[in-house]
Amino acid sequence: MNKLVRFFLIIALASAVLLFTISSLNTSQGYSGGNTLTIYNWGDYIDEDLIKQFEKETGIKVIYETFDSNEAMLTKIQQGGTTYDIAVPSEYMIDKMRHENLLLPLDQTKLPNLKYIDKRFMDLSFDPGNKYSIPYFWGTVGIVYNKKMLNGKNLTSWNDLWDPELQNEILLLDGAREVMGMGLNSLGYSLNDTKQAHLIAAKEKLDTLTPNVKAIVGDEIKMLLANEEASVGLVWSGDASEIMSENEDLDYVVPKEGSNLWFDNMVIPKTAKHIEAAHKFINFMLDPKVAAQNTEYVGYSTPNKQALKYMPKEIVNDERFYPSPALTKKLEVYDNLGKKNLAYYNELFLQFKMHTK
Amino acid sequence: MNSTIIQFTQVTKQYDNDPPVLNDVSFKIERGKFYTLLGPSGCGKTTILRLIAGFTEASKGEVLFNGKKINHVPANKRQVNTVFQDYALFPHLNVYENVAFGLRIKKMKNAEVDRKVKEALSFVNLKGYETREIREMSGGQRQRVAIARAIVNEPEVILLDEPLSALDLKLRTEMQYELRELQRRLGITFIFVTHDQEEALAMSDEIFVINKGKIQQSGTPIDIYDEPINRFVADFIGESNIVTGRMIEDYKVEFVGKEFECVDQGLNPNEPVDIVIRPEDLEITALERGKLQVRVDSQLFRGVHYEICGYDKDGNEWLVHSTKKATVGDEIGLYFDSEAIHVMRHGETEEEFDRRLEAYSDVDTNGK
Amino acid sequence: MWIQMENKLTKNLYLFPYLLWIALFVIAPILLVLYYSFFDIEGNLSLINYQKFFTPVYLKMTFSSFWYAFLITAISLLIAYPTAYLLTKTKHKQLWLLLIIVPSWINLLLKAYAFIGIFGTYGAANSFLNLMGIGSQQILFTDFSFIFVSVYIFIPFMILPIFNSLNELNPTLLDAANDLGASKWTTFRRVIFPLTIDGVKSGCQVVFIPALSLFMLTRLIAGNRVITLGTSIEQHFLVTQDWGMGSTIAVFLIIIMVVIMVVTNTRKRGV
Repeated sequence: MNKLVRFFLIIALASAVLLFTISSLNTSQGYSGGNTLTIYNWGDYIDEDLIKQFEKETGIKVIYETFDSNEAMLTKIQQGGTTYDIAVPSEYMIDKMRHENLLLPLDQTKLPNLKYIDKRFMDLSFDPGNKYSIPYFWGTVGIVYNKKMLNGKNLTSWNDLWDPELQNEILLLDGAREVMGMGLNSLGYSLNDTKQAHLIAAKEKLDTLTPNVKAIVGDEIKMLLANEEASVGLVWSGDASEIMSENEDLDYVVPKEGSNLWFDNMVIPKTAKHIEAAHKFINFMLDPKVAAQNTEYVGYSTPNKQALKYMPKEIVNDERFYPSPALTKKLEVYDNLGKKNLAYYNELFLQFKMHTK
Repeated sequence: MNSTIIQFTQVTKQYDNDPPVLNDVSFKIERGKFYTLLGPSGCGKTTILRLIAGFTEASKGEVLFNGKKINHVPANKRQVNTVFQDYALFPHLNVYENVAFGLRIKKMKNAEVDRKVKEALSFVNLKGYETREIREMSGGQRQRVAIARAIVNEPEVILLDEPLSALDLKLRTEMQYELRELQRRLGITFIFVTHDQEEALAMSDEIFVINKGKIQQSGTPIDIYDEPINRFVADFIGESNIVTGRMIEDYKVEFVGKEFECVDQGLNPNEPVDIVIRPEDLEITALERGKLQVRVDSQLFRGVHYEICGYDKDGNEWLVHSTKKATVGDEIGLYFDSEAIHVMRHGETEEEFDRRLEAYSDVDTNGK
Repeated sequence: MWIQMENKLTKNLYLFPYLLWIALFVIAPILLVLYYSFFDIEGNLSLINYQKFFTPVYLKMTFSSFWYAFLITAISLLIAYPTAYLLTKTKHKQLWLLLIIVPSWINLLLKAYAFIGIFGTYGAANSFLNLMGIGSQQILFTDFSFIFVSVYIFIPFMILPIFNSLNELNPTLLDAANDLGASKWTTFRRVIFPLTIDGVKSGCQVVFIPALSLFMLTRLIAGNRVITLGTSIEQHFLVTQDWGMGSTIAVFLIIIMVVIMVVTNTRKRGV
């Protein structure tokens, strides 16, 4: 009896010690005191030399942490354990975080370098007036195809995917917005369309694509395309540039009907403790020379117009990653369609997936 | 010859390069008798059983059944049935279906199965237990189910592999009677394996004493008890006093430094021998009247007799079964008849032993 | 009297962690799932999810989940039973068993990725087929590869209970059956199989129930050409964030699992 009581006491004591340690660890993380800045970014998404440069120029010590999905980042910020001063979510997540009051408004007077950002990429639907976010990198959704496997055939349009010669050759991303968007775009509709008739038409059009679809996969699409498991894939431009560096036969195209335009953006989450330093860092990253260096390192498209001047011509003139103004006009950012419409998109996508059998 | 049902001719069983489990064994089993294979564990007695049942094959030699070689006949085609040491009843079947198992495999008609199963169960006094599950049966009842399951197939031979070893003493004695009675009623051959010499003596028509893969001696319980062929048999069957000695001449033997008269003859003069005297053949008497003098070391009351243990002055141990009481520490005399001395030659085979016995039984009858 | 009371108290105290565990991690989640299933996507109390479950899309999905789970279980059983039987006959059976179980310690994702490599157009399987003169085949993203990999992943869980029940089987029972005239096949049919049926049942449970809700492999190995209830739950929770519909499907899965448990656990035998 006594033993049992003691046993429980020990357990209670041990739990208390653990809880205390965890909470003290949490507060110590983020260095709420000193002259520091905690950044929460995607993995391998910054030239680390620039962090050193920033530290040298400002005397602020940078703590750099990474995440691998918007959802994971959201959870950590919602918990509030770590005091992140800057995070880099994608546009749809910004909309969500904005509505959940997880972001602090930016003081644009402290961001003089903001003027270098291309006006095309400012004031978009997910954050009107750039009240909370500044674009960091951007990209598109398009088609990666293997020139060698397709014997030099060029794909330029979404409708090229319906070519019977591509039987069992196409890999699709497992994303309702991306695949449904492809269907809508191919019919000339907006990829934010919510008209039921248009959506059903898109789904039915997609159903006719099934003989050409080899599989609908996740992240492994990069590996599968690089290994020539299939000759055509629906991918994000970021992934495209990554696999094109692995396999020279691959090419990327943004279909002429238009496609999705996506952004990763710098924000200051509600948990931030060093708001001044955060603004300094954002402004630093907006500097054209810094942005150019960072873009060359990361390989994505920069929204910084001035930075293009400091970059090699062959990158800047690559229409695959810096599409012509004519094509850019046809690119659309995903609007937050609301839960109900999103559910309908997913429902149709699910039916499409069942149709592949 | 017709009475022989099973015959082993120079059978050897050997696994890989281990010493043989059974070494060049030959014997005959006659119809309708109760046989016991007796020996310590690992002696090869169960191997003989498994060779007859067909669970294993002989490495060398022939196994004959009704005069036909059956070395390669699989177990399920042999007309023998086994009662296993752990009964090996099928736990997923009830009593009835356990007994019916063999009949069902023969695709016998249901009515016929029913008649035979009921008959077999009443034979082993288990009428009314048909629908019981095996786990609801006691050890003794399981034993009977196992027997019923064997006899219902009407085999010519039933093999019993230490079937009583799991039962308590009282039940075991009861089952000994029942088994013997059952064998008489059925009139078929029982081959019973045991390491319990009392069980063997009580039940058998014939006993095979087995040790180290060889049959040491075979014969009726009385023959084996009275005339053990060697130290092993004498020691294994019943209790005995065994000392080394020397045959001086016919009818005269020397042991514990004294000469004694005996009834044995036909041995070489001065041949070294082993002497056996059974404890019940020793009689307590006054010190000076005894042929042997021993000091009583311990005494146990065994019910029908006292078991007295003493040592002579050479340090040989003598065991005495006597209805008379002795006092521990006393020196007593032991008396025995010359018939009580049993002389065993070293390394004598069973045939040689039989020949010698026949020789002097002739002399005996001639003499009388 | 006092000691008895104390014993009772101690017993209850020992029971406490178990009850707490059951309440927190078994009962509470099931109740939560049930609770969420009554809300539509906009958070209104409704039965729309249940209505939706009985539309052709979800019924077809349920049927195909069942069909694949059945195939996976049946094939696993067909391979596992003889394997387990052979294992009990080998000399170092525990070692062999360990070798079969070790792969189940490897992360499922790793195994799936390995199979993408093996079954790919330029993978080991196709090089072998080329070598045999059969030529390259589409293996990845087919029913075959899905069932093959699923069986590979589940088979240790099928072998283990069957091995245990075979291992516990008293070998003299086989001698006894043989002695009573049963051939090898009859012995298997009338003695070995009935006596190991419990192992077979728990093996089938352990395989069928998770197979019913497989989701990762449906994407990695079957390229979403196989859609199961598990895939759909994953999508509803993670992508659509329609927790109500996800929960509704989960409710049906739970009901199905309970039914399977009850059906396969009808009778226990043995001494």
